[in-house]
Amino acid sequence: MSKFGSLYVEGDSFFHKMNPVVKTLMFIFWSITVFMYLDIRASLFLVALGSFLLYLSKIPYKIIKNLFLAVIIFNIINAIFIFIISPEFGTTLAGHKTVLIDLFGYQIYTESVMYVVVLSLKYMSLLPAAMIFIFTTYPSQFACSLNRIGIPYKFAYAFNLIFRYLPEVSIEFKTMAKAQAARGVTFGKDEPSFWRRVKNLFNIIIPLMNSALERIDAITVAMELRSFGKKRVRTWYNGVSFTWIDAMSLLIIITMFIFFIYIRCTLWKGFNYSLF
Amino acid sequence: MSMEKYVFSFSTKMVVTVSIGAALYGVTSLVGIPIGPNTQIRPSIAILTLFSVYFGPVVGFLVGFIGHILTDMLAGWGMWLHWELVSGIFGFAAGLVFLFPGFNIKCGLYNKFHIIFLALMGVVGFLLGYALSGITDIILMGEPPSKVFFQVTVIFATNSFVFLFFSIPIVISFLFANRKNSSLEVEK
Repeated sequence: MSKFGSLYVEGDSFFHKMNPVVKTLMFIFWSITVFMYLDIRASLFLVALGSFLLYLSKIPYKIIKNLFLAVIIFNIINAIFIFIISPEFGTTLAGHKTVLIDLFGYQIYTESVMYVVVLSLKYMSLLPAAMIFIFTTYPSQFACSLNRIGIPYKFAYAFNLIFRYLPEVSIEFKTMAKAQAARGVTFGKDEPSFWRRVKNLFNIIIPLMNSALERIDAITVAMELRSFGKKRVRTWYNGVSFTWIDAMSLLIIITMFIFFIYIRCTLWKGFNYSLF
Repeated sequence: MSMEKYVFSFSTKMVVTVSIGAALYGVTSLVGIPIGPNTQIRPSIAILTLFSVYFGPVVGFLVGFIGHILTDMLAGWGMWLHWELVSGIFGFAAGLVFLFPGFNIKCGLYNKFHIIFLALMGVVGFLLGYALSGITDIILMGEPPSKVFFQVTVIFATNSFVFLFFSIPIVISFLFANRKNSSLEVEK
């Protein structure tokens, strides 16, 4: 994955062919489902299901690995913070205390440890849907499908523009940083004074903003010259249509969502850390 | 240079402004000087403040919200919509100064009150945004309240500091630079 530029990964998996709007809905429903539970069974099931979907999406293993590593590091830092600041929150949620380890008078409770585990799994289960959405959706197709469901094309076109100009803006930023460095105004680690570094970093903003303002005017004029926004409808080069496979996927997603709400309301209420 | 100001006009220019602003905010958010664990001084806050002040609260909100989603996607952290909303709320609050008839950054028109208002609104925007995302984290993720409170306080303090001591001077320098464009003065 390049650090700058589009994130789309070429491929022809099931999710690459899926309508971007269905993918957006899947992401939203998935997130709501994750938010509903604080239950190890639900989190484990969602992590497993998510991993399976990621496997289906054929996103390169390297990208998945990096993202999971980032979330694991985040979870470790989060867990340390929880143990420092509110070590007894898990026992409050569970309503009882069981001492797991006694470290010179500082007790670590089973409930606290399991709470951190459940929370970490919850964060991890949030990831797959976002990844599928980010890496298998081509920006132009997303813009087109937003337009197809009734969002004005002027608004939808913004997504095209963002990904079109992201690489240019980042190249410009790098060029400006190098130009400033050439005249001795750097913000890298080689600059000895900390405040000088901060000042130099903020100095780049002035040329960057000025060039952005000029760029906005130039692009606006170019687009208006080609009558952007004149007609009520427009056609799309990267058009996508709503197929019966999309309809079926949407039906499955909604059914599963309702099923999860039902389980939440009847069986798996509240905090639970035991598997059975 | 025109004196007209639109808070929201569904024009080509607005679409382009939001797109370029979001791309710029998204990219510059990846750059920063670390000052502590997980905390950086980022120039992007100044970019967002400038876009809000130049184009108003609606553009500020969209640039902040979409740009922050972009940052998280580019950096590989997935999507955290309630944290990304903070940038949107901040952009909206900082853009409120745009509504004053006497304030126009394109022509360098301002007075002391506008700057104080901008400073106050920016801090209020961060306060509201982080309070909201903290509460969302407690309710939706089931995080411990005292830990979230600590986290939110630290982030709020750092960002407000960067906003007050680095972004506002840049806005003032833009106001100064643009003032030279007008050779006319109001006679009293």
